[in-house]
Amino acid sequence: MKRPLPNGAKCAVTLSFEYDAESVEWGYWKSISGGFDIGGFSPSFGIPRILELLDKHDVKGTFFVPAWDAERYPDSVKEIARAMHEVAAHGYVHEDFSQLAPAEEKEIFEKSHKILTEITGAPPQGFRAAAYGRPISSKTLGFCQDMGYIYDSSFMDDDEPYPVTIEGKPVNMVEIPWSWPLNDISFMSPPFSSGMGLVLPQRKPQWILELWKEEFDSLYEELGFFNLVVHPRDMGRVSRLPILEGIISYLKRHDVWFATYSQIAELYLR
Amino acid sequence: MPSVGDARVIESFAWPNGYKSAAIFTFDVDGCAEQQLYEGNTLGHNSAGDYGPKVAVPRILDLLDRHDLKAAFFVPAWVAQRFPERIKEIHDRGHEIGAHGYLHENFSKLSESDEKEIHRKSSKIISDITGIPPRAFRTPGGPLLKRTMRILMENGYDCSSSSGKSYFPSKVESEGKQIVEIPGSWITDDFPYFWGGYDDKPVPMFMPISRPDDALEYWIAEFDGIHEIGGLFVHINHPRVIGRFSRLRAFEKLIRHIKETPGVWITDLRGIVDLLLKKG
Repeated sequence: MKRPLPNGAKCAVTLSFEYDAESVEWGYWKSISGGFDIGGFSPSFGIPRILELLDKHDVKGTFFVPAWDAERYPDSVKEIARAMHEVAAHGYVHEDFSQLAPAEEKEIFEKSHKILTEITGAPPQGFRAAAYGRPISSKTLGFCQDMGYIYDSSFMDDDEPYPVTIEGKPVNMVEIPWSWPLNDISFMSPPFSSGMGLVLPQRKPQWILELWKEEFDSLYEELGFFNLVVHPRDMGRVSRLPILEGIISYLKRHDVWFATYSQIAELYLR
Repeated sequence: MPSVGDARVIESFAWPNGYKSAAIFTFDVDGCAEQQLYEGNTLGHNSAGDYGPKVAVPRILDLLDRHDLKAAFFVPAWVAQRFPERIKEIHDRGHEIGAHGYLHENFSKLSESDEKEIHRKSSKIISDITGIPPRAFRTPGGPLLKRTMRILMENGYDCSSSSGKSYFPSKVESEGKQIVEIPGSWITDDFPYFWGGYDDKPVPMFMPISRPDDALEYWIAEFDGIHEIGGLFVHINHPRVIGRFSRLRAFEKLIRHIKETPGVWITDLRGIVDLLLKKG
């Protein structure tokens, strides 16, 4: 990474979680009843188990929460904030931001920000686009800036964070890019959950863990930044939680600094 | 419109200096060209193309230097305009820049005059950056058209690497002009193993992500078979896809495997073209 890390650590590690309860299905279909209601699995089982796991390993995560889900599960979202994890913006009903009129998009940013602030007691510090592949509009980064966000995590054009520019001008914001191989949904999303009728291939837990270890090994040696994206509705299954625990344990055996997204952004904005 | 359909069947090929087979390395620096063309949006998910010229190409150039290899990089001219210094760097470090459309167009959906204009514009943009007009071409989206081969020959190109019909290069002659066709394939391409994301434009596609060494197994099996029949191994990488450190490690293992195989002529696209056109 192009910034020195606290305590001279060799690699920064960020664990991000997409709360994604029924807002995903509601956003697409105005229905939450399809596909075994898997959205509801996130707050009912996935999130509590993941919070226990993070607590056990004493690491903090960044949770991207659609505000519609926060309204329906305020206690669950409060619990995330109480455990000192970061809660960040992720749309209202998991919208495709590339398909919204500017006024509509602005309203969603403001409404979601207000809801998350009221529930958690603190304003979100950043944003990640929702919907499959995180499409955004030409206005999205500007709205993030208007909300005072210090990071966005919607892009895939780098392996490490970088300062954001809007129309060539530097702004007070950092991009924290994500990638498909470090996103659990690439290997475990059930059919239709993306709303696109997609059938994504399933991989065995051990296979996923090995792939992530290989990715970490190369990024640890060559770069110093490892950014994981986890969906509690998918990773929260009893057969898959060991993948998450496995990678956290593996990361902890290295010289890493576990950071939240705003801690990463602050490294670049200081 | 049908694609070129008159390629001869070749079953053997005499490589120089008693080599049994040949291998070359090529890269398609597609960037966000298709996202720009079909969606007009290179943000968010669509920014994955920029990863190629922005992040991956320097890593690839260093890797090629470490192994003393020269490669061909096919670049849509719009990507060259977006990253002119990067494209110049590829050229300055001794690699060939080939044409690849302006925005990775499917030429079979365009009129002949539109296609000609794209070739003209792309050639000018690339030669303004590198100082020389491109002589090699790989067709971007869609089939290779007879029309395209004719336009290429009329405009000084001597190489197309667009067909997948054979394991051997071939020479196409027309009206006193010659062009070398260098075959490629999906199996020796990185895209099917690693792309991972779902795209619905220009066509719906989803390719599951493999572990790097799994892709390596496919490549090595295919290389070994091509070596056995004395053919030409043409590796095709997309910087946006192969550029992750984990995947470059698998690519480097492939390079080592090829280097350790006795009797392989490891050359570049120019080596093949010059051989067929009896130059150099």
